[in-house]
Amino acid sequence: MKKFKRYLKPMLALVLVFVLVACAGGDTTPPPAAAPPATTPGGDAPATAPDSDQVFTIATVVKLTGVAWFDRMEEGVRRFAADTGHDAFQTGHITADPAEQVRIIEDLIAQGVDAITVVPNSTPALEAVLARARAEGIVVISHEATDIINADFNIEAFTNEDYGAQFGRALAEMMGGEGQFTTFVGSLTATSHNEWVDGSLAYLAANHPGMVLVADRNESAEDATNAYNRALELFMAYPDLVGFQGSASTDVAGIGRAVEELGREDTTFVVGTSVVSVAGQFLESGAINMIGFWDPAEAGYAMNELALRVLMGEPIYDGMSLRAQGYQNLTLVDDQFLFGSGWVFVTRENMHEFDF
Amino acid sequence: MKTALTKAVRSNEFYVALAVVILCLIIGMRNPAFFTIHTAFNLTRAAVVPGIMVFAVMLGIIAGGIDVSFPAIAVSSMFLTSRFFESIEFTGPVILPILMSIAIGTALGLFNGVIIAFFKLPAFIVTLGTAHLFHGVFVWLIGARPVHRLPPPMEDMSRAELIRITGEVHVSSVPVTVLFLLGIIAVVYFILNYTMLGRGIYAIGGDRVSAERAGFSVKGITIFVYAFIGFASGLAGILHTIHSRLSIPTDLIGSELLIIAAAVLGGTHIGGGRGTVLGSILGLALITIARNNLVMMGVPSTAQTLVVGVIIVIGTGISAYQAMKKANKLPRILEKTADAGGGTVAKG
Repeated sequence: MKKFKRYLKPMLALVLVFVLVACAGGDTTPPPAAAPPATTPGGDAPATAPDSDQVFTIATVVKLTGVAWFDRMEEGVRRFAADTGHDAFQTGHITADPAEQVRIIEDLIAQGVDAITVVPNSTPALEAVLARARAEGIVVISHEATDIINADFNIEAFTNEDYGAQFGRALAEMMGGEGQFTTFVGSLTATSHNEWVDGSLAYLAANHPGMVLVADRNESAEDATNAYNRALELFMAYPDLVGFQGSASTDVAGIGRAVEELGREDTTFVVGTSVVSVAGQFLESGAINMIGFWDPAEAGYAMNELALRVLMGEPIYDGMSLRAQGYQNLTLVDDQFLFGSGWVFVTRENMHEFDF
Repeated sequence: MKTALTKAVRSNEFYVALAVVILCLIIGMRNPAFFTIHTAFNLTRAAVVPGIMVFAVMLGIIAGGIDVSFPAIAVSSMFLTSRFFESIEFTGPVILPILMSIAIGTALGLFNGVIIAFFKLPAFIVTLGTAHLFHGVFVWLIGARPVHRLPPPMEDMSRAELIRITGEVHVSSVPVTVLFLLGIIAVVYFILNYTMLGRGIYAIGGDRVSAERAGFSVKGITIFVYAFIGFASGLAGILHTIHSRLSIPTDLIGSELLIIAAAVLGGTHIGGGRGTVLGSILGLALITIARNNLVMMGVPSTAQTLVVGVIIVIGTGISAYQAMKKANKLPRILEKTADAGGGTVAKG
């Protein structure tokens, strides 16, 4: 026991030092990098420049930085800044930590930005600080937060049902409107995954009675290996199975691997939500036929453009259009939630246009 | 007089084997496609990664400790390894990434072992903490960006097959990686049955104090056991990545309970001191079949977790019942001692 005590203190000290170093390390996130050139004076302003001379500062706070998804979103934010001449920049922490988002937003309030657009890690965790931002007169726009209260507007690329229906339509087209198909979800409790499948099934039930669903909603636990094993089993259990719809980004990768190994690229049709970096090799081999997602660059652009419209006092209405691709003829729900049709579908032909 | 047959019938392995056979018959009756070589091949492939972890964890449980950090070790080792070999655009022999992952796993396991051995802390508590520590440190150090494109040698290995059978409708294969599972089984079997180390593992799990008095190096054996778990986890992790052709830092986390369940189903006594390789093979078979053939049986996915749960509860129940019957048959030494002198008996 004595020995234990002798080791305990240095050990605890070591752990403490480590934790402190870790925390300190986290705080060194650089301040928002150099924003694009501010006002363009006089006549050489781009055609889309602000009508007034006022330049707004719009900050976009993302879930985390350093991942391809949000790097892509930053491209949209930069393009918005270049197009409009407003001071728009993206910031975030290296971890997907709601507490860090709160801290960053507090800093932005202190800096006195005009608008904050945010992709929350946890909506409830941000409500208080966003309410404070709005009380300071800052315009708040959110994305991927259909449960938010303290935002002027929340904008989504699409409703999950509409997006899911697109997969149903694509699968039916590939399969000639008939045959057995199945669906995968990352987990049976993932709301968006289930709504995508619901949308697809509703579309198929209404339009393609020849499409027969077998073994609905196989659960992959977001792990490609599980999706792979389940796909092999499904092929055994249903010899006539030809269609797959995946939901988690790794679902189609697991299914695609099974299709490749069985040499069924020509007779099986695999569609689902994913990104090119995950599904690319299988799109090339033909094991996956089509993937869908929404382009974070367009979402970033749309959030900023929406923030600008609110800042300029322009009306936000059902059926309005933004310049971002897929954000035309928006649907406005409850005067706060906007939905576009910002889905992107990628096949072997256009996969090289996307680097995330 | 006990004959070999009655002894076999009374053994725990017998009941687990019975459960496996019954489950297979039920699935086969619902879907005759189950009884093909393809099922056996698919199950073998699905069992490689969990299997390696089951035999490592079994060793820990026999030695009297429940390690719950092995998925964190596996995923940390494989993720650091794949990020490293991705960054150097590696094209050399595939054994190097495998060795690196094993080395990282062993180091992390050693860390567990040293803390558990020197501070005499319960393995469960220590590994509950280190699981978060390991995973947290690695994600913090190298980020969470998944590796989508493995270095070519690893990708090639994911396509390497030992046997391939092309049927009329189906094609199936056993991957080369199954050799690693067989290797781990052989090593664990050899250690437990033919070495003094193995006797020591049973001894310290049965009664730590007695084992110490009998001259076993409790510290040494404990450190070995957790280092071995780390070794096997590092191996399982890199094989998981090779199988999925993706390296994702959130994979495997959460698989610990099913792995432990497979070992316990196979008759490994959760309190330590008892457990066999054969039993764990059967436990692994039961869990793998239950996890990968419920679609064939026509169980809807919403009910699959329930069915797996029922199988585990019944299976572990049988194991516990067997253990209780055996315990009741033992002479009541403790009570006699207590009656005779009122003295206390040291318990590990």
